[in-house]
Amino acid sequence: MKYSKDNQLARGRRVRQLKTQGTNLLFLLPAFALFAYVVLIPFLQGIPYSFTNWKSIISDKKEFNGLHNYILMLKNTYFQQAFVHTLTFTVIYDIGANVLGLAFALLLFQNSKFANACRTMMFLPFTTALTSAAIVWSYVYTDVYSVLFGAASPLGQSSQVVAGMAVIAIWRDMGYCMLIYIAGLKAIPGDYYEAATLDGANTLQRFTNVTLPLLVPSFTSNVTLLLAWGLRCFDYPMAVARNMEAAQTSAMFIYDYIFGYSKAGLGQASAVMLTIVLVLLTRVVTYFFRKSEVEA
Amino acid sequence: MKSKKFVALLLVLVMALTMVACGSKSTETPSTTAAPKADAPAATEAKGEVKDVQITVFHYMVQTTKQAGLDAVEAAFAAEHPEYNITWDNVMYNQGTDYFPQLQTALASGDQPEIMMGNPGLYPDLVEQGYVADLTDNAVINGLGLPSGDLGDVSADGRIYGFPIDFKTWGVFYNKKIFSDLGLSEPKTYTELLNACQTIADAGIDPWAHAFGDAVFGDIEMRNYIWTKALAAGDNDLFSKLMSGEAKLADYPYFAEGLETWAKRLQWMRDDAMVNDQNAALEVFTSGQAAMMYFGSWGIGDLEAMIAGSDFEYGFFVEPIDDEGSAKLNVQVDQCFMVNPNAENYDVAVQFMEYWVTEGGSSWSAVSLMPLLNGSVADNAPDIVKTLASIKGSGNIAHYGDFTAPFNSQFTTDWRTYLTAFAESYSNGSNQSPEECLKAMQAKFDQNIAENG
Repeated sequence: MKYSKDNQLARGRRVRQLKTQGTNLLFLLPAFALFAYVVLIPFLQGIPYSFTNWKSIISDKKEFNGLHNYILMLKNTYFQQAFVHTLTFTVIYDIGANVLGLAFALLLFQNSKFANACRTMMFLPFTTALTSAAIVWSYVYTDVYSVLFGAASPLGQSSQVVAGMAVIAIWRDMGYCMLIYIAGLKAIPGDYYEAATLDGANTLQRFTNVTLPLLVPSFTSNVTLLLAWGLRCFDYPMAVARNMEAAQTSAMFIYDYIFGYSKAGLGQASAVMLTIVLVLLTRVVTYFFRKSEVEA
Repeated sequence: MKSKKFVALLLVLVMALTMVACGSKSTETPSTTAAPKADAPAATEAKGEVKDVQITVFHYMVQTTKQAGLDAVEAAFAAEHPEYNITWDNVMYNQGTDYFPQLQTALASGDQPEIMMGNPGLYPDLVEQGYVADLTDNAVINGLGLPSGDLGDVSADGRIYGFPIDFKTWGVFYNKKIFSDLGLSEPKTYTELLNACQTIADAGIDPWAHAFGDAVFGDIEMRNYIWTKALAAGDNDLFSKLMSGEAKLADYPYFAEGLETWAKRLQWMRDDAMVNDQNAALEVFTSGQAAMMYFGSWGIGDLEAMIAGSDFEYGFFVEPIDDEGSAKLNVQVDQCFMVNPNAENYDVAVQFMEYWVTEGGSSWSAVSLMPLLNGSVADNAPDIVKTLASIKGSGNIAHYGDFTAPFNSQFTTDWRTYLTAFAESYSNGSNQSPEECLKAMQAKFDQNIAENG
């Protein structure tokens, strides 16, 4: 009798769980459907074209050519260079935006009118369009940076252009990182800090042994998101360094090949390869961060 | 729980309806892309009815004066044709970034714009795929009596595919006051030009305002040398041979000579030379911070607007390329428009373009200040425009249309990228040699050719 009652309770729990999960999935469905409609399905539809000699997107003429496009693109030193530029941009941008975002989060996570105003100011650049941010910064570089430091704008120098674009991206997105970190900081129970203080931990020790480990979920979110944004970098070079080879990113390379140069098959193969790299890198980074996560 | 489910279901429903709405657009497209009805205008005229017409014009005229010029010629045509109630849809993109990609995407998705700006030689895909009408037998174009170069610029494989409107050229625009204060006159030789640069620099003024932030500026600063020398040597098939791999850059000595000549005046570069776009460089020039700017006639309207009300005066000379007086005015058809035979209002579009290249040209020129191919210039155009028109009329020019084919978009991009890199090396002191520049450029050309195989 007791067994039967327990069984009924367990079944009831399962039904409730399933209902909750079903409702959650229903909430996810619109976003997923939109994502699938505008990103996933077109991308999957595009994969077969990467195995063809398709030239112009307004032409129906295409023949299967196997892995020819992939082999050609892997050997293409200009595609490799574009990937190196993209990776360099991503590393500078991801580290810069996260370090500064965390620093500002630590400074501004306490509630006060001043902190709230500062947070709003810090977040504002994130609301500007990428191209607008790039154009504004092109003037900052020429009219402020050059005047203050007596140096030419980094956007006009091949050796500095990637870093120059990364600075723009850091300025724009560090406010977003800051907000995620602030949410993470607020989720850390105050008891942990009290216990650490009682154990004699100083500020640095509390930060490294309490704050950082409990902030790992925020790192996972920010680092992987910015990694994906960085690897898809397109708008900044398009807006301010279109004709510099040193600023060419993988996304620009793909855009040019598919739409500008009528080499759609080759461009599509490059896009598939970039996506694979992006997924792998994101997966690796997420794996390492998830492994370091601790529960509060 | 029930309300959560309801909200979720509602969101799904809205999403589904949105997608159905988006998807249904493509099914409607064929009806808007019907073949032109040749007898439509006559039929409506006979009945005295006003026909509703929409004309979509894809163009890359980023200059405000040209956009105003397009509006003016459209208004003039509409006034001449009360039988049409025309809705104009002018779609502008930047040629250097997204014009052709956007045009291709529009065509691939089923849109059929009536008029598309561009030299058909640059857009062979449009011609091959039947998006461009063959105008070889068009009586109005043939009646213009244009020279071979003008027709070459609107042709591909010997057939005419575009309506040529006006021409562009480029050279050195200079500040008359600075030249006059320093006792300088327009240089006739390259040595005189270099001496003038030195005199200006010695007076504490920057000789040049550069705009290498726009890719075209490296290109136009080299064209004068390359086009003039190539056409003089009879290398009319220069670009087609380079694109096919039949010839290499090193086979033509004037590429290295041209770079060497250019490098001599690249020693005078401002800190902002590599990042300025056209407008930023024009500001430097018109504010008197720099005495000269290598610039094109396409921006004269914007330049005039910028200096309106000020006492700024500018002059123009063709840049000398040597001390033997070999330089010639470079000419290229500027505004050129193809007409889409698949568009719904193809006939009206052709009528409009025929109007533009004839009596409508004056409406265009009066606002855009561009010199027309037939030699006429608006009365209100600056003297410089009239001078350019008269030089073109003399025939002592180097015309891009006299080459058998232009560089395609990938070769054009590479050509410009490596010229910009060459200029950059003189701004940062690394001073690339002409051979290094050509070697890097040739390697990229070879890559392009290998991909075509």
